[in-house]
Amino acid sequence: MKWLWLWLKKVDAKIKNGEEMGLLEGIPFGVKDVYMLQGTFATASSNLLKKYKSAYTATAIQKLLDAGAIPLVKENCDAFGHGSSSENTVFGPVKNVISPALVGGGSSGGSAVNVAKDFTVFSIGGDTGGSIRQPAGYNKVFGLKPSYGRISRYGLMAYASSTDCVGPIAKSIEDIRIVLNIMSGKDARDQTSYVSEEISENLSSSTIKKVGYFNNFIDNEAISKEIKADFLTTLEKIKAKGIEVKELDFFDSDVLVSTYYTLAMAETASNLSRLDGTNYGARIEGYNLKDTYAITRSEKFSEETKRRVVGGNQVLSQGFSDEIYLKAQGLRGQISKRFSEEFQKVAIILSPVTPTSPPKIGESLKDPLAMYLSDAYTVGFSLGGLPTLTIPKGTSTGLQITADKKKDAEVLQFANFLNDIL
Amino acid sequence: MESQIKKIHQQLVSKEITCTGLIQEKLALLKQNTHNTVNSLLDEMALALAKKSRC
Repeated sequence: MKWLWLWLKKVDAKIKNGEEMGLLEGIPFGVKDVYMLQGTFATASSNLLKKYKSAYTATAIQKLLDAGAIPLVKENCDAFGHGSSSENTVFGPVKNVISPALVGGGSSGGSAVNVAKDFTVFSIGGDTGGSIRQPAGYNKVFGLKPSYGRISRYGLMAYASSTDCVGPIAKSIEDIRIVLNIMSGKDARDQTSYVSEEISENLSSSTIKKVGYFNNFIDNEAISKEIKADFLTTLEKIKAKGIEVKELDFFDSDVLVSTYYTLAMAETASNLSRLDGTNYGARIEGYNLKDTYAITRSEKFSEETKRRVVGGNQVLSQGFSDEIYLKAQGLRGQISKRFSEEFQKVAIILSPVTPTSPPKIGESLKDPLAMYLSDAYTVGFSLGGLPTLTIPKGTSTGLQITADKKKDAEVLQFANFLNDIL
Repeated sequence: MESQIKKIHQQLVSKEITCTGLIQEKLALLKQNTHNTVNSLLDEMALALAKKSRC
């Protein structure tokens, strides 16, 4: 592999120059199996790409390789990011680290569990609507969805391009910071990426005086009594430290979930249209080319992926796109605007990660709608492109800490503060 | 929890552990695949990188 040869030359050069060993040199990490890493399988946990090998390396992964980190494993996940349990995979369901009868969460379930079990020191997941944050919460580790555009998406298989984010999963805020700094930065191959400042090691002082939470997330029948009680207790602990906690109004979680899934399904239908048996992955020959496309996709995509592709094409089709897709785009604009208004009042928004504890393996597959609704607390922050960190404290499935766009440092600072008081 | 990256970095710099030893240990754990987290193991690549690394 050409990149391996180039990497080895760089190491030799460092030795000759007497450079000190970098922090990430020799550190083993995992990679969600939706990233390109040249010469290795990139299956997206799907039958269609089960034998597909990457022709190039994702920018974020290359930056980690350049820093000397060592990739060990392509990690199990929901196929193409389609799922919240890591059961929608041809490699078998990922098991939760706390109890193997429960789901590992998704879609970056394999990544979260590997970190939780110390099989990897950190892993790189992907988050479109909660796919780093939720499995991090379910497996009691830290997981960051950075501000949209902070890390290049080049080489990440696209699910919903307008919300997809590359992000680290690790066992400490400091490790999240280190990996985030390495991966961040503008990339000419991803026009949505931007130049960002390195986040300093000094996260110990937080100047945040006002935080908020969405009352309608908490005053809701869907949330479990235990998670609700734990979240409210957490708010009291924060108040006791002299920080003002403000109740905020926001869109109902039903609106957030339906807006997100309308847009995400539309985008994934478009992104996966390239997988037709012609250029990538498996091919099943039909009577003619059109038949080949249809049979290949029908046989090789999972039920959940097909559901999303069909749903996405539906909302984009003539007669429906005005009523559904454009309406969802309009709502997204309103959601973003409301976030901007709320962040004039508070510096940080807190939220539980999930309304309930992880389900048993098999339960989610019986009720896809229930699975979509379980993303109620994560999708809103995705639609806003906001930096959001799950910390494994505050409730049994963790706590989300969110700040305004490009304020990733503030998220980590406040997380540090919360980590000490909870 | 303290930084695992910094802790391991110190162990590597002080030669308490070696890169190859660390990678072999992690690969052995992943090979068992106890929680179905593994789609493909990058053992050849990882060991080649560890061997050539400065630790």
